[in-house]
Amino acid sequence: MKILSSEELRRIHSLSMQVKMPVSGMATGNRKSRSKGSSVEFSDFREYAPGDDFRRIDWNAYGRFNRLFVKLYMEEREAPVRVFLDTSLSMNYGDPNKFPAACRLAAAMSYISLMSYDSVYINPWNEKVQGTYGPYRTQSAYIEVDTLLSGLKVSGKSSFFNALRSMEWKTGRGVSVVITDGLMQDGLEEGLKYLKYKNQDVFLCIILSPDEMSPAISGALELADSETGERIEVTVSDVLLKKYDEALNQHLSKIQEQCRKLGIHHSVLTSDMPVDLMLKTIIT
Amino acid sequence: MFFETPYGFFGLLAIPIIILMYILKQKREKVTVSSLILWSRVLNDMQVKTPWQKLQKNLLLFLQILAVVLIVFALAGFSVKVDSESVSSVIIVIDNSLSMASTDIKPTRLDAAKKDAVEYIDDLPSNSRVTVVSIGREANVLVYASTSKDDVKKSIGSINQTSGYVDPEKAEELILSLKSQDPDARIVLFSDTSFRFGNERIRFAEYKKQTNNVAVTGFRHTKTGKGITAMSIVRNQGEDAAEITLTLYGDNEFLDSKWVTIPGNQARTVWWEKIPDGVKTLRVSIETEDILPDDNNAYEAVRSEETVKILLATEGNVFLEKVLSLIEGAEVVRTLPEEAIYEGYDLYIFDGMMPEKLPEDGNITVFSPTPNSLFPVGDWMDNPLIIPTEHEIFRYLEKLTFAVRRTRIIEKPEWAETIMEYNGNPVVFEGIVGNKRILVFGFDLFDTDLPLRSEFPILISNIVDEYAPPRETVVDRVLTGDSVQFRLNPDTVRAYVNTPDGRRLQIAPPIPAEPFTDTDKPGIYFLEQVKESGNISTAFSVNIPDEYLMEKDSYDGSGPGTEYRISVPFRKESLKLSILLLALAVAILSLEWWCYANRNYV
Repeated sequence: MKILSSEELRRIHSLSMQVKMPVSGMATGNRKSRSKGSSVEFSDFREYAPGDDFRRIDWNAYGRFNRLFVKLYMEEREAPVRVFLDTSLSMNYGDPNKFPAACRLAAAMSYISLMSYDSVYINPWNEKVQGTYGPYRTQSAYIEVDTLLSGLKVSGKSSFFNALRSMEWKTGRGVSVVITDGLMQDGLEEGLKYLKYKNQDVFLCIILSPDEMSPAISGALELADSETGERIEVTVSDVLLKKYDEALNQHLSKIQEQCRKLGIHHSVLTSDMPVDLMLKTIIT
Repeated sequence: MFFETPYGFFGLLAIPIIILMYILKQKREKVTVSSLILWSRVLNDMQVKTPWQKLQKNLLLFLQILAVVLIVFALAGFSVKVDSESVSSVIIVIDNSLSMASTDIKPTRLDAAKKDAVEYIDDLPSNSRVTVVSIGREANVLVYASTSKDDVKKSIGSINQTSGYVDPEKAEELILSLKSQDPDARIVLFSDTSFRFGNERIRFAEYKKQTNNVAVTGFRHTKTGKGITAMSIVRNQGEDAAEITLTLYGDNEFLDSKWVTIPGNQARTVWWEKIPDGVKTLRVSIETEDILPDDNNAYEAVRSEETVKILLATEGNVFLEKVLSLIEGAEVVRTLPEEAIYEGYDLYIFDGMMPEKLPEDGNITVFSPTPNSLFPVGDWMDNPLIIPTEHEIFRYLEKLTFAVRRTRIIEKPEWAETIMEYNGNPVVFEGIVGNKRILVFGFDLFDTDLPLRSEFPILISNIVDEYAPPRETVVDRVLTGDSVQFRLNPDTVRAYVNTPDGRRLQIAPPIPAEPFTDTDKPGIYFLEQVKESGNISTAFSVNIPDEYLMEKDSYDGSGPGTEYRISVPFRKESLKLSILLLALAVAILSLEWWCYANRNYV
């Protein structure tokens, strides 16, 4: 089963991520990297050393200074894009359900990354990272991504920081796309800090269902937490809903503030948004 | 500030129930949400394992409790006393007549009235002068202008229920007299009847919730050839028709029973026939319960029909002879004055003469007396003006008028009382000499047109009834509270009255007997006369009066031409706030509903 339809793929085809930071991928790609290499983009001069490609010697500079300099060019490398997809139970909620929406977003991010010659890693996580799938490098690998995402199931609690700590990291810069509902007691901020520490350009995508944005419940209820099973009793009134709205805004503002401090791209999405709109929200 | 019906406070029990409902856990619908993080932040709800939860500050709870309190206050008759004027002097008038024994107000109307009167006294300024009057058969001043509240309360406590009816005239006379001595006094009447006291403004505390009382107001019997026939009158004093069981007892044995329906405010006559002749006493009883049980019985003593022996001593009086011969149960012997032996008769009638020696037994009636030893008799006086007076011999003859050509000039002796007089000269008088009663008419029947009048036989019948023993000892139509003047047989040595509650009270000597006043209890009384020739026991009945009839004038309200001001129930001096409280409660409940509907609460 395809997560994204052909129509959706066509619409996101032209989008590409605006990545601020240079990355350090292994394969040559479309991203600026710190590595100097062969490209059309000038980066620096350096004195010639034996072994250098003498085709790169700047003869005009030799004429002026009587010394051999070689031109250094910015090597364009692929960006390793890691998609951290929250597969905790809390994602399986709402109408439309958050988890399929999150999978669609993950697929879309992977797709546009592959289109940009980036390598894509998929990391589903709940209490820990379920596995590191990838790298997917070629555009044709998208089908594998689609298959992988289609097979994911929700389970467990969400604990982002613990999950990140538990996975193996390769050195180097990269892009991390974190797709979560952000509804976790703790660990989100630490996780984001950890990603920054790992030199990641982070895109945090908070995805909530419309039910969570404005709950359509009322009366005397016993609310159960989908992850922990914890229950609380509440008599839902207009005043209470107003207070919930305030609490939600406060929660999102806090996350936004943390992201601002950490230089993280932050966007709040709802599960009823079309995938192209989600992407536009994220990259603009 | 007081509560008219403090029983309403039982409604306060609703408050714990409301609180209980709030602390009992509500059964809630289970809803799974993605996470409770946000909800937990919003709510302070505590998840506990007991069936109770901490009582929250809940607006609805307080509104509901407030509404309940207001409703309870309304039920309890919350009132604020508005003391419009301060009174320095009060005449408390408490009705202790029979109807105040009604149980429509618990325990009885009188008890409630006494209680309220005591409360009223408590509320008065300490230096108020209080006069307490009880009005029943007699109007009595129990305390006069006392400033001691204790004395006043004690006197109110001492007021006992009586079986009589209120004599409105006596009551009015006494109250007006008290009022005239203290013109500033406020009259406060505690009664079930709005009596009027002249044109005085009175405060009236009414003690009448229901009127569904049925009373036996009349009970008579007569002897016929087929046994005794009795007639009972039953009055329904209530507004609604009453269905009652009426039972007749003879000598306390069941005789008959009837199912009677009486429309509201009407009386019905119930006849009882073929009662065995041997029955001495009769009692008719309403077996159906009502608010006043005391008037459900009526008693009647069956008269013994002994013949009376009458001696008529006359030169010839066809009128008297004819009339006396018509009287049932009377054995009349006519004799010439000079031939008579004055012994062995119940009544001696002397027409135009007086014997030298009075008979030893029997009473005496004299027409046109001749000079004698008992009283001085003079010449004739012409054309005296006859004005009828009230006396037993003129019973049923209130409108009797007759002309007299002449009458004897008689000097009234000390032992006699004038019944009829003209210009200071007694025309008719009576008195007691020894044990004998003597009735004297100053005129000769032939000098009047009296024998030609249709009332003449009634007059003579009245005389026989009144003066011929043993009939004279029969007391009739005695009502509770009445004083009874027994006319003992001339040869009675001692006399006793046996009351229905088993007491034996001596009434004679002295002879003549003092009036017997111990008639508070309705029932059959026995007059026992001890004579040398043997004892005679005569039964007589004492019945409850028909209070409705007796006090009817008062029930009717103001009559034409009277400037009677409507009495003011003093309870209305208080501002009853029930309606206001209920309105407030409804408003609060509406507010509560609005809050609930709009969920303007946490």
